[in-house]
Amino acid sequence: MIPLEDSTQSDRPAAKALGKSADWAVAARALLENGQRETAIKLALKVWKEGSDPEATLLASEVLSSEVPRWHFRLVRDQLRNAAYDSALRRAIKPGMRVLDIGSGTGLLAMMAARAGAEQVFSCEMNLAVADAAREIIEANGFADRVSIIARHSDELDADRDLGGRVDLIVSEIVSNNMLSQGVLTTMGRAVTHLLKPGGQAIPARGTVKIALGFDPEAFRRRMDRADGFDLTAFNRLAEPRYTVSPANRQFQMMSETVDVFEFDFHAASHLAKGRAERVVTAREGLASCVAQWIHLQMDEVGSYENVPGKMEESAWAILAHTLPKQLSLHAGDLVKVVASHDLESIRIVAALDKP
Amino acid sequence: MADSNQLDPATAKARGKPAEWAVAALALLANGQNETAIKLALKVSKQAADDPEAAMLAAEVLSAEVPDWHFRLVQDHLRNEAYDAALRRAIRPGMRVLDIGSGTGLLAMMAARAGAAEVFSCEMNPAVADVAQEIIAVNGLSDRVQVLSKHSGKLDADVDLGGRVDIIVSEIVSNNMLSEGVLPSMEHATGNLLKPGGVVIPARGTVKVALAFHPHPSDKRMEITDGFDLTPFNRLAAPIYHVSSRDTNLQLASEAADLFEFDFRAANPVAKARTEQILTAYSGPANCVAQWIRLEMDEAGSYENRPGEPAYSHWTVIVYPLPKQAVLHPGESIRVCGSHDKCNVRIWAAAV
Repeated sequence: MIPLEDSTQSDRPAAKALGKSADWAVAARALLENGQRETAIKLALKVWKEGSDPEATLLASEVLSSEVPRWHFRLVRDQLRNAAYDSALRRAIKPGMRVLDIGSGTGLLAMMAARAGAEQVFSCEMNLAVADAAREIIEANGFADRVSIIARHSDELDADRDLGGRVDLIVSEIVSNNMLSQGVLTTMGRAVTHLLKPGGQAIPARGTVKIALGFDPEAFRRRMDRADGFDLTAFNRLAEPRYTVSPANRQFQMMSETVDVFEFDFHAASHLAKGRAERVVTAREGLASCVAQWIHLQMDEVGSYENVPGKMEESAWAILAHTLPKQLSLHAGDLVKVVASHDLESIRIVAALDKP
Repeated sequence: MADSNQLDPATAKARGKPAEWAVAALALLANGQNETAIKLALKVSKQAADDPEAAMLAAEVLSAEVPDWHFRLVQDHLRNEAYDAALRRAIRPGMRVLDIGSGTGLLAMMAARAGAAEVFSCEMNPAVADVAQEIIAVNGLSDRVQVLSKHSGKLDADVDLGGRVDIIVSEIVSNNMLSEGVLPSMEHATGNLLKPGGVVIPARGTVKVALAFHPHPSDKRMEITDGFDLTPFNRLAAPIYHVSSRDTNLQLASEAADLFEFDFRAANPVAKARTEQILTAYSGPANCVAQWIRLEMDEAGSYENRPGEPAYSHWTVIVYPLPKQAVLHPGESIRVCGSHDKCNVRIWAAAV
């Protein structure tokens, strides 16, 4: 294999002269497995753009997709989400404003900000392959003069050095199914303190974690029972304590009223503490298999987004079903105590009948 | 946490805080000390009947490296039947059996039920091994089935099995046949743990391919969104995706071809290989290559998750979209190329 330290050796004419772009793709894979992500991605991009050999393209594609979560492809199809962001940006942006977009992805939110009239948009993205694609998308859509991609995590940005001073507005979509696990609290805490003008706006402004008792008729597929004459139930000890359900799943039933367990203000860096909450919910008649948990985003004082279970056509976010140790058979009016905790990243929920 | 006395359930109980022990297990896991983490979580899990929070935390540790196909595969009745029937045909009184990859212990228990005198079942995940042992006890087979909490590659016939066994049964094949390491595992096991002339179930495996049409799911590709062209992002899309063999949207459009055949009984190591087949679309348009697997259990029984069959399979069909969103029409041919490096299978299509 050819040494790759010298970048002139990995340029296209050299690879072509060897006539072996598949070998270069194999090298990219080896670099990836060896932890040299940045070099691997750069090499894979060259192989992919050359596109002459289907085997090389397949290997390059394995490298490029390796750390690109699939939700990138789902979330842009969530039209309610896109509309909530677009209208909040249109309400917020005044001529001359400078915007920071945290987590470029496709660059969609950054382009929305530019379209809404921002003078300058910075969009940061920590995944090199994603940043490269976002840059190309922004160029293809004619926004390269006003939107610049910075291939770094927002934590590594310096307002003066990277943004030409603090920005007027921060827009981000770094909330996960449980709100927290992409690190939105620490990221926003740092960005608001160091990168936003005093009194500047954050979109979304606030987020609420919502819960209700739920029943998933397919829950049994994740449990061991008897198989072929043998009792396998002890294996249930190894079942994941929570799993995702599509909010478009019409079979999923809500078995109590909805309550809020945690509320986060993304403007305020002051909430960076673990939290614990207890709620008592009133059950409906029937079976409950889980506590369903979803999110509500308050974009600004006007607009919001919520992936309500069973009510969506398509959503960027899934419902998390926190499995009950045993299915509960509930009477209308039964009280169930729900205990939720978060450590800034994970949300954990348990529930049990509340005996008077 | 190194002192095992600290893991004593009595101590934890005296403190009355199994949740704190579970938190410690999570911290150990995050720190890469998986084995200690799992041992601690197992103790918490067994004691935490009246503490749902501790049980939930323990479940996070225990489930961390347990793939969810464990839960699906026991619901694959054709698979279970194919294994059970092959074991019943093979096992004679007095035979000693090695099961590679315990999982729930189901195949090991089937071997015991079919009359094996002694069954060894090895499992590299300690949480899974512990549970398999409990399941075997619950089903009253502890006297004949023994779980060894190790990878088969670390077994020694004399030390661990009391000599070479008569039969090796395993289900360590993945959707592409190879990615769970069936080739190196079986190479070692047949060479070092099986009697000469012993039986291997399944005996052989074939990677099957055909041209097919599948309306590629919309959530796998970017288009125009809200007035913006996002298509350059498609270079970051995964090159393959998985569908159920029962997905009626997947229509085979050519004859099925055997891309690779593996004999799990072969004493000679399998080498990396490349191959190609020319396939012609005949029954409709084709926009992808579909890949699935076939297992020959023995000379009598087989299992195949062929697309379009009505029965549930826990193995998925892998879809390789044709490059550049090409569509082949009936009568058109393409070269379907494959390579394997003993652990992965790659498939791509090229012009004839």
